[in-house]
Amino acid sequence: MANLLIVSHGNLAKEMTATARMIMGDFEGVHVLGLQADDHIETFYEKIKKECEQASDGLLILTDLAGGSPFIQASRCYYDMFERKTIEVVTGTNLAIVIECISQRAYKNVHELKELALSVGAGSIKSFEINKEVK
Amino acid sequence: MNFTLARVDERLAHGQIITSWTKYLGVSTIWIVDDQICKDDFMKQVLQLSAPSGIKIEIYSVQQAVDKAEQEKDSSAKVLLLFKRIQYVLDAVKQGLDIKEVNLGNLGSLAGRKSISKNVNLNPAEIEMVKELMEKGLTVYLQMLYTDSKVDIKNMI
Repeated sequence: MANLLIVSHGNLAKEMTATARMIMGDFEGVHVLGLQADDHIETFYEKIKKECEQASDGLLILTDLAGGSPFIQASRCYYDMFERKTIEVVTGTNLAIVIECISQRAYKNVHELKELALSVGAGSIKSFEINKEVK
Repeated sequence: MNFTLARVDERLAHGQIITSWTKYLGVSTIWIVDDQICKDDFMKQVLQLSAPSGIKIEIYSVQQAVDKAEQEKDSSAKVLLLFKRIQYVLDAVKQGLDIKEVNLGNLGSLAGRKSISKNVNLNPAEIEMVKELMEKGLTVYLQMLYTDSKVDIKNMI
């Protein structure tokens, strides 16, 4: 079963996970890291690296913002470790992605989960329009 | 070669701000000029990945950028020059890069830096570099978004 790590600026990862819990009921094995304003980047990198080392079946890392420090440090772990560890890094994570990945991770490996994250994320962004054809 | 903008922005090419600048200026090519980043294979990967869609990112050392600007000086290509550090703007100008203005867009409030404006913070060494650029005849100005007014930094430092 793929492991999940959600990494963000501030408390976004923690709160998104708490909200997912509110919607889906309880779950285990989803780890969370938040980069606070006065945290050191090197320490943050080491925390992510430790999660990668400890993940037996591979790790999907969901980050919040492309180009932000959580994304860059997660990607750096991927870059440093991909030859011996199964890791995927996704950015632009929204709640739909978090929920789908948590509910599907027993059935998918890390690479499949990454593909799911990308398609769910993109497909989750819509606007409400009144469709006159709907009966 | 038309350098439509030379901008110092620590966030470099990701985010809405640079997207709005490229749309406003009608450019689709950004040169990131930085002697450290050009040697960092990992950062080059990240920068390419976080580029706004439709924007081509080219990453050069100061020397490479100056040489390429010289080689392509007769081309009509429009390029946005992006720097993370004021040091490299100064180095490039000293090596002959032909720009008349430098936009200080976004420099964070790190230790040792003093706040010049909402988005621009400079330490004493950086202030000296700005003064040196001004002595060379360049206008150094603050402008976060193209909708903001341009504010010449000369009376603020």
